[in-house]
Amino acid sequence: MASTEAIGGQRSTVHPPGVPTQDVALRLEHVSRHYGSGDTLVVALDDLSLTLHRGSWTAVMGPSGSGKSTLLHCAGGLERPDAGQVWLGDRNLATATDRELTALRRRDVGFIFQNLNLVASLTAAQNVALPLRVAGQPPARQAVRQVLADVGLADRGRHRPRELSGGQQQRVAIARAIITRPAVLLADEPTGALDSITAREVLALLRSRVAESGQTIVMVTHDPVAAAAADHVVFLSDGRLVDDLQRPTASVVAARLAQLGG
Amino acid sequence: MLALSITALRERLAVFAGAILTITIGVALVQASLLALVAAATAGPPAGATGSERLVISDAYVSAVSLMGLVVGLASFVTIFIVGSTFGFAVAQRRGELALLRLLGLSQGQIQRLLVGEAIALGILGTLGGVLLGLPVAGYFRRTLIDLGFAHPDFEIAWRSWVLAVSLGAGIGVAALGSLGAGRRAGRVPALEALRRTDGADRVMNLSRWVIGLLATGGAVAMLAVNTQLRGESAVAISISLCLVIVIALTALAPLVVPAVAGVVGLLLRALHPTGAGGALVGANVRDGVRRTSTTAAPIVVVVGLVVGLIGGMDVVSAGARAELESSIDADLVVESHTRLDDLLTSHPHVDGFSREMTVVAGIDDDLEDGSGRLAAYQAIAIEPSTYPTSHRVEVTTGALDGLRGPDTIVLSAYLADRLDATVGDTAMVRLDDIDHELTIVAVVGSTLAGPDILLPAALADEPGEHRYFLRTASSGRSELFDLLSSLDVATVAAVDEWTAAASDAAERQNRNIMVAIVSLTAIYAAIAIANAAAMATFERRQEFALLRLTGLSRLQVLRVVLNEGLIVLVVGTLLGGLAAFGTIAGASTAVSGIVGREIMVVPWPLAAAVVSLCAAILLLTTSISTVAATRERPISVVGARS
Ligand SMILES: Nc1ncnc2c1ncn2[C@@H]1O[C@H](COP(=O)(O)OP(=O)(O)O)[C@@H](O)[C@H]1O
Ligand SMILES: [Mg+2]
Repeated sequence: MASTEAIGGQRSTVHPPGVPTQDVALRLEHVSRHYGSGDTLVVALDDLSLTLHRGSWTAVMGPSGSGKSTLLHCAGGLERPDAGQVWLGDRNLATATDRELTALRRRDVGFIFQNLNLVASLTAAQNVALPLRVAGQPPARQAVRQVLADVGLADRGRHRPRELSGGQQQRVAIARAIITRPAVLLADEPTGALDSITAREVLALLRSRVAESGQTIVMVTHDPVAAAAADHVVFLSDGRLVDDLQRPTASVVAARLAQLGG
Repeated sequence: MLALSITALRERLAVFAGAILTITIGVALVQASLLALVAAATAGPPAGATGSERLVISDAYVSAVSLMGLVVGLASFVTIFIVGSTFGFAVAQRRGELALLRLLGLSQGQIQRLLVGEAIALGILGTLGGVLLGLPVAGYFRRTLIDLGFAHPDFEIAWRSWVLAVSLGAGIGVAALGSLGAGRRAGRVPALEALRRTDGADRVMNLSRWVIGLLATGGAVAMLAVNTQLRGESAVAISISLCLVIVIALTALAPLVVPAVAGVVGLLLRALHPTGAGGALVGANVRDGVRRTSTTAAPIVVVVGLVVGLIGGMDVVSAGARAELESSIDADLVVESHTRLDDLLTSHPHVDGFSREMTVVAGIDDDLEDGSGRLAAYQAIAIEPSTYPTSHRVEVTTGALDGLRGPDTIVLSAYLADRLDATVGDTAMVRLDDIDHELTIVAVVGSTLAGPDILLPAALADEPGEHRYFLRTASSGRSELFDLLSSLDVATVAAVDEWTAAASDAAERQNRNIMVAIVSLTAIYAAIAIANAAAMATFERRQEFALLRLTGLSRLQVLRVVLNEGLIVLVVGTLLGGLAAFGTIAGASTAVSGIVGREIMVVPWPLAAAVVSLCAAILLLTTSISTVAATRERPISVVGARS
């Protein structure tokens, strides 16, 4: 099913056929999402289907405005598709209530975004502990310290965001996203604002999540080097899935991207 | 979640200080006016007062209770209004943070509870301050009531412990209520908003604004259409309600006019400085920040609307009474004397005619339905029915003034006859100087603004008192007569225009003083709210200022942009406040014109100019100071700490 030729064609899967469905972490089926109407109609996602299995790391690439962020938002239940279904495990996010989506955000999905706000008034440790508090769990000091150490900020727990560099802030955001050990991590340009050394650290961190915790990662990126860190890459154009690559390398990714005009 | 509330509270104390302040002042006002009201309701005339004195003092306390009732109502309304809009604003400013919490899995209900929890914490802090501040405020009300003659100099406002419960309930309740609507809206903030670079502008003209705005507009139109009878305390109450309803309507609909005003002012600025980017920037900023502009303008609407509308409305009543008095008296000289001058006047060659009258206090139970049997003090005029009409224009509706020739008779105004549900031929129980009289109603005369509501036969007012004579003289001998009467040390003499002017001036002063007593503290409260809103609106924009400075604007240029935007806020507030004031004055004018029988309309332009200038000074000064404070940090450190 996974053909890589026909540009503009629709695909239903990107993983090798024959993988049992209980191994599927996330599945989008014929998802469409548009904004505006009439003259201002924008089709952000156009009948897109995509299946991701557990413990995989997928990079999403494509020109600006091709629908990458919208794909991520629909996958995380932050936006409702106009048509189609989004399955996270065995739950259909397209029809879930706000209450169900809230519970889902607490346990099952973590978000890492380029401009993801940290709460300025809270320290790094408090920011990281926030999801636990939100879930009504006692803020486990040990867990917070461990996660901060995992992202290389063991000694920065007491600092407030304004006292941290951009890369450090991003790592705090990652620590916050992983402390609840969500099954799926959604990341929108997580290395976009980072220098190459820090970016490499962040990518290594994500790799360890996949390898050690079996988390599923979907990562939007513009950077072929970052994409090459993933298990595979899908390419979007005008809201459609137009290409994919298994075991990518930076140079191949860059070449494909150039073909798409991104 | 409480921990989160407390952290937020500690960290945002600067912003929350404004919210606490609004509660503190509101609670102080409500508590003090309530204590004053209860004190007046339980106060009585001092021992040793004569019958008439007792009647007058008791009646004054009744007026004091109504007055303080108005103050309590007004203060409560303005407190709810200001606290509500402050909390709403504070929540709107935190949309980004709240969206983030939604993203991390906080439910709508939890967001609401978080905000209400914060509001209650702020409410408690604010109330504690308010309870203390309420003590000196009560002292102010005590002095005011005594100065206005609504209370005996011995009047004291006692502390009552139950008021603490009221204050706590009010302060916390208002805070919780104020955050409830905002909290519900905030709960619906989409989590996605945390991911967007721009702060999502939630629709400012939401459904509740439409509903409140249109309902209140309908109410105001209905109140204006129903030509109410403007008498005494009810006149003030009606004016206040009308004014408040218009203020509610206009502040709810404010977001509709903001863009238009911003457009016009932006155009003007561009015309003035064609080269500068300021005009375009200012116009765009204000259109973008419709909520901010509307919220900052709201307290200006309250101040301008209340102060100009209520005092202006009262001025219309005073002007009506003045016009009425001028047109109802047909005489040349007025003489007031403690001794009878009838013989002298009858025999004097230059006196063409005169009437004599005396003002007495009449006690009447004019509220039969309340069953209390309490007497209200009315000014009654004891007259000679044969001569009174020669110097006073009286419009007799039924019966005849001549009936007052008989003993134990009375003439009532249509207003009082209506209150007593009595007509010619019925009897009325009237207490004069401690003696009850059963008097037969012989005529009903048209109501006037300033009274009198009762005419009595001269024989019923035999007590020693001041006799008032209205004289008609030929102009030739007038000055001679004037000199003669002036030389009598028992009399004061005045030309009739001077006398009516002095009487009208005194009445107008008293009316104004009463109105000032009612609105002053509430207006000061709203004026503080202007500063508060301006400061909150400015601090909200630290990031934006930093970005502007990074694009090359100096601090001074940023300040200029912000001040120009402040100008738009001022124009919006003045426009809407002026409309509220005009509506209130127009309402008073309709009613007063109906009673007086001709068009009465005055607009207190100097007052309006003074109030607007004061609002402008507060707004622009606060905006400047907080802009300077908000641009103190190096811009890069502000932008870098993009929270
Ligand atoms: N809230 C929105 N309102 C209107 N159009 C939107 C909105 N969000 C995204 N779009 C449009 O949808 C298209 C896809 O956007 P997005 O998913 O953010 O693209 P990408 O992340 O690939 O750059 C773009 O054309 C964008 O302008
Ligand atoms: Mg994007």
